[in-house]
This record gives sequence, structure tokens and C-alpha cells, in this order.
Amino acid sequence: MRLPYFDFFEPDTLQEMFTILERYGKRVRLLAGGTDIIPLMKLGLITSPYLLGLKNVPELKGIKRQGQNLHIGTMTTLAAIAASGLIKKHFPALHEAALAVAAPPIRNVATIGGNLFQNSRCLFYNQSNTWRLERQACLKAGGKTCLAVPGSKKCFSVYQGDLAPALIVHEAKIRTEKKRGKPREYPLQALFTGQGHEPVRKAAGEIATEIIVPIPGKRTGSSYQKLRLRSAMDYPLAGAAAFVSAGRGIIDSARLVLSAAGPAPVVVPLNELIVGKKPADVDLESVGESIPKNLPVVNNNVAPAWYRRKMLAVFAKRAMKAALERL
Amino acid sequence: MKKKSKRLITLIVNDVEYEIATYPNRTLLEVLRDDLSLKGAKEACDDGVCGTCTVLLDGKPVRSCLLLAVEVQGKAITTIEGLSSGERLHPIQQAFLDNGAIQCGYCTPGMVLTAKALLDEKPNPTDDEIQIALSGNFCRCTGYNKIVKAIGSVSAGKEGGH
Repeated sequence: MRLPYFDFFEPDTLQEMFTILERYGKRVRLLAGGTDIIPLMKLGLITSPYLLGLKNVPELKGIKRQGQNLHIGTMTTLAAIAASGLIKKHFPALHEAALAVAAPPIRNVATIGGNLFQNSRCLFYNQSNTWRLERQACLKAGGKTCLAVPGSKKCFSVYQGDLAPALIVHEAKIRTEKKRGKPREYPLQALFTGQGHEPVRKAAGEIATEIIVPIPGKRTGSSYQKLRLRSAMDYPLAGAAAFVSAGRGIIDSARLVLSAAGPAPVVVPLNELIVGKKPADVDLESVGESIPKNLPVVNNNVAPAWYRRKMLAVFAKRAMKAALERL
Repeated sequence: MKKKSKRLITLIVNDVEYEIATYPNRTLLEVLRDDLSLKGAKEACDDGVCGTCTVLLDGKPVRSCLLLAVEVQGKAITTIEGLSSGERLHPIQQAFLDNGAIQCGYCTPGMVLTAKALLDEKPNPTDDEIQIALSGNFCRCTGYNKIVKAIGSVSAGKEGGH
């Protein structure tokens, strides 16, 4: 499969990068590690006259502690995240999520920013041109209806990122910048639109520069658990991240976020279930049952929808159990 | 009329500096195979999944089918052709032969290079570490046991090292 032609920019500085972004606006697409976008371009699902490679911009890389926050440059590789002692110590869910992505050679180039901005996936979308020519185009590929749920005017493609749920349970923020105007910082959760055809918010000229995560206090625990058919390479069929904090032996906050549960990571409200209890008194069954019943999980992945729903509950329980054990 | 322009790039492959004019949409794998005739890196899935296109970039295994040739200028690239010197095999290659870790051979260049990166970092890896390192390299005929055994048999202390 050959990549369609594009012109390529590879700035060495932030300033140069912003100039190109401003000049080409929506016509330029960003190339981070490339492990998601390059296959999509080979399939002809994404085309762009210009690609902006970010690998040479030093300001976008690195993990550093500033006060009570950890700042992770969006071009930091997943290998660097998995190798960071600081992340392993304070953000075990993120450490596990990074190690759960693909395999080491992919993690050597794939980045945290690229992982968060990855496209949503569907058996009726991530297919070759030849396969797609046999059918009408699906909604996400520019057609009129969804092929996974025939007749639907809504896209049911699945967001299968591993890092997003782990970062959201740790209350991560994303920082975006552009050439002119103030940088913005907002909760990572708001990056996701919930719309399968365009799962992440992107504004022309703007670029995500950092992920900022508050370093949790003592007596906290987190974990990310992932279901996949093979122990490497696969995207999650169900993913769950959990976080608990129990300052004085009583749980004062708890969060659960699911991946592969629809077009965006799903935040499961479980305050009244857990908060105020002793860690030993948490009923894990109720954590599994707290997952909304109406998640948009349909038959568009290698495992059927009924199984994925069931496993979301199982993996949510496992993540919560592991997080509690780390308290 | 549309214009498609080539770029003049410098690639350092197996300690040789090459000057190449190429379109920006060509992958490192395409340039290695088609322009430099280094056919060791294979094109199989071309989707980043299988690992047959593995090369080392600054000593780390990467997918050459997912990298643009224009992206890796000035970085040290090692392909399987850079491992042996003439008739003399690299100890990892010899270990693959000695342990019967080859059948069709298609995945072998990727496996050997991934093993080299692992052994350069950890001269005495455990079987678990070998398996994790190889988890992105698919073999469809030999099976993984002999490959893991071959890599385990190459240790820093042995003659030749790696």
C-alpha cells in the first residue's frame, strides 16, 4: 500500500511549527508518532495535502515535575512514559496503560498526544479500499448511513485509546496553544466529542502541547485493565481505569473510566457507591453494576457487543480491585 | 498543473551515508528496499502489526513501514544487512541457525534485530523479557519457542558476544 502524495513539513522549533499551522490551517494534518495515521492514510481513509511532522520539536517532549503537577509533553513516546519511575510511582494506571499499547517497537515511536488523538475504529471503517468499494460508504467514511447499525444516522465507531481513561481518572488536563492568543487548559475528558465520525476536538491552528496531571496524595491507588485477544498489538475490546483515594482510611474519592465503550471514554459515576466507605467494605459487584446499561456498544468489533458489555463490567471490577489493593 | 516535489535527504544506514532524492510520502521501508536494494526488511502487513519490516533506529526497534524516509534523516539506521560481516554471521544469527529458529525466514530479520536491541540493553534477559521484547514480531511457522531459546543462548559472556 502506497501513501498518497503529500507535502511534508518538519519544523525544529515551536515558532516555526506555529507559523506553518497558522499558514495552512485545516489543510495541514499533524503527524506525531504516525502509528495510527499512517495506516489510515494507506487505506485512503485520511488524505491531506500537507503533513506537519512534530518529531523534531524539542519543546513537545519530556516528562517533568513542576510543583504538584506532572507535565508530559505531547510528543513524549509511550516507551518513555512506560520507563518513567515518576509515572510508575504516582500514576500506576498510566504506567499500565502505556505498557498495554501495542508492542515495544510501536511504543518506541508512538506518543501520548497521538494516542489521545487517535481515531475511533470500526470493523466497517478500518478496511481496505477494495473492501469498501464492495459496499456503500459508511457514515464515518462520508456515506449516508452507518453500516454497523443499518439505517442509523449516528456513527458507532469505538474510541479504543488506552491512555485516555488512565489519564482521566487521574484528573489530567490538556494544554493547547496557538500562534496568537492565550494557551488553553481544560479537563482531558472535554477533548472527546462523543461523536464517532469526529471523536476528538481539533481546532485549526491549535496544537496540544502538554498533558498536566496532578500528583496524587499518599494513600491513593489506580489501575488500568485491558481486554484483548492477544497479549500484544491489539486495541482494547474493553478497557477500564480506576482511581481511589483514602486519606484517613476512608475513601474520599473514586473514579472509574471506560475505554472501548463507545465513541468516547465513558466516565462512570460511582460516588455514593464507594465514597465514605472503608476500602475493605467496597462491594466490587456494585462497581460492575454501576456501568450504564445504555452504552452505544454494537456489533462492530472482533468480539460481539454482548460480550464486550459483559467484559466492561468485569474489567471495571478488576481495575477497582487493583486500585484498592494499591492504597 | 500540480507539482510533486522530491526531497534530497541523507540517510545513515549500516554506517553508510546515502544521499537520496525521494517523495515525502515514501516510507523508510520503501526507500530501503527500492532505492537502496536492502531487501532484508520485509513488507508483509504494511500496517504496523507484524514486525517483518523492523529496523533499528538509534539502536531501538521500529516499524519502517510506519516511518517516512524524510523523518529519519541523520539518525542511525541498522538493517539486517548491517549485522553480518561478509560470510561471518552475527552471534544472534548463528544462534538462530544452531537452534533451528528459522523455517521460512520471513520474520527472521525482524526477530534478529529486535533481539539485538534487547541484548544490547540487557545482556542476560529472562525468557519473559525475551517474550515481551518479541511481542510485536509475528512468526507464523517456526513457533516462538525455538526463537526464544536461540536468543536466550546468546549471552554477553559467550565467545563473540553480540
